[in-house]
Amino acid sequence: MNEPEPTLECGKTVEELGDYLAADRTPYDPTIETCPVCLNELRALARVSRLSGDLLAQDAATLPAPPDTWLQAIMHNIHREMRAGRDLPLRHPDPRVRITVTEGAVLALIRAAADDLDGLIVGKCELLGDADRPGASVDVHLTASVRWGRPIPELSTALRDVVSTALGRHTELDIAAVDVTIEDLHGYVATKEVR
Amino acid sequence: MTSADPVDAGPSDVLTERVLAVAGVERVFPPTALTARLPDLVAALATGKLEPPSRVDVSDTDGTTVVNARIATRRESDTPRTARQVADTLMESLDQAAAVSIRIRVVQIT
Amino acid sequence: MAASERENPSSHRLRLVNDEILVARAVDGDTAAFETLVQRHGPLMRAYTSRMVGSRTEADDVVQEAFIVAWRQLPTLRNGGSVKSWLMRIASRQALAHIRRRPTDAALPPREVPVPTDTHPENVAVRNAELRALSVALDKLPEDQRQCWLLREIAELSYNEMAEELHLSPATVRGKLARARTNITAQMDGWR
Repeated sequence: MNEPEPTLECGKTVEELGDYLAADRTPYDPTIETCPVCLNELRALARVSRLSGDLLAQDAATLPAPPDTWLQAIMHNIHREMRAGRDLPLRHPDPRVRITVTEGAVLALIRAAADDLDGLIVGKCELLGDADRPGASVDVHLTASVRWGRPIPELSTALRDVVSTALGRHTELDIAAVDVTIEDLHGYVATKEVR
Repeated sequence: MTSADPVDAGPSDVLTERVLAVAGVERVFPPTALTARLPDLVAALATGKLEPPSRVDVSDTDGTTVVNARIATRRESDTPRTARQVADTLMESLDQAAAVSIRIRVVQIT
Repeated sequence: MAASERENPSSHRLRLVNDEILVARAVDGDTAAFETLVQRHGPLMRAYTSRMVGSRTEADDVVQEAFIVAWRQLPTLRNGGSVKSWLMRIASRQALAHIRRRPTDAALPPREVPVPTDTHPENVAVRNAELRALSVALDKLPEDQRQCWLLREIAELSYNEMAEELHLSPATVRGKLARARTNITAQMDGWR
């Protein structure tokens, strides 16, 4: 480095104080904590650090919304790069015909079916097993978030039902089990009775 | 609508129309997912350049007519049955004397 | 509203759930969940990148690219709860790549960064004046110091992560950051 390190009149460097602040002022350093120059500098550093967060939050809040095409271009690209996943076979008697449904389409179907349930939002969804081999047995694993105050056992059962029905109707997978894990609650309203 | 006059390999538009007429089919997608570079895609969108046409792809490989269809089915339909009907419709529309290979991929159930 | 809800009945409900659920769905291919992530974290990314590249229109392009990169790389994200800092790091990388692509002999575009304005009465006027002073101080920094400051204070990268993104040694990064801190606190002296 060719530029001198910024140093305070007490001999500490701004680097040292920055590191100390970044470490939440631990372990306690008495040479810093009892030095008025250091304490003053620490206070100034902490303040501009906090202000920086505030400044960017304000920028973000007051930034004009981007043109509609901004989001459209992102989504457009993403739609082109859909995660197709594996090809799940559908039977046809003619050997010249090969039919498959993509895993991505099936996962989207599961989410759509689950989203019809009030008070539950599905997160991760997995088809475990050789789903791309005809006749193989497949386990479905789902995680979900349930809205605060809604009955978890009933919703879990309802979720298993709608998923089994949708898969039975649209795929030829041999579903051995549909496992549901409720990972989170959402929509908690403090001090209010939620029904 | 359900007429099944044999067609040549060329007119994929005819095949596309027949596929779209099958109950339970929501739409037909362009033959293959594009793997174009991102800046091109953003530029294409900005300049309003069109997508590749959404249609059934028909090609000839070593004397075999190869038909590729990427389709979306409807949630209220029965996807396996719909897809099999699509295959049957395509098969009926093709020259029975020629070697044929039909590939149907359901990429969306909507 | 009725039409859009019929099209995507879950989109408004997706706003209620945490990032983990949204990331899990997006990894599975749910574009609506990804769109919710864009809406949730896009504003800070745009603000941050604007400060970084000094131009809002360029920042919008950079953030757009960042989200598309993020969609591709999302399956590699282990902890969906940390998606915000993960996105900020991708935005940092895209912004720095964007800056590096600028022809070195070309004049920099005139910086057009937001300057906070007084929109509220006197009770927040002092704070707004502080923010304005910081905004000006940030803008006066040499570009390398400003990058370090933003990477550290806003994207919250570690020294090693900063060094990686800036193609510098961690020691150099610490030095630049210290000088940025000194310059900013000096500029802000009147506000102590």
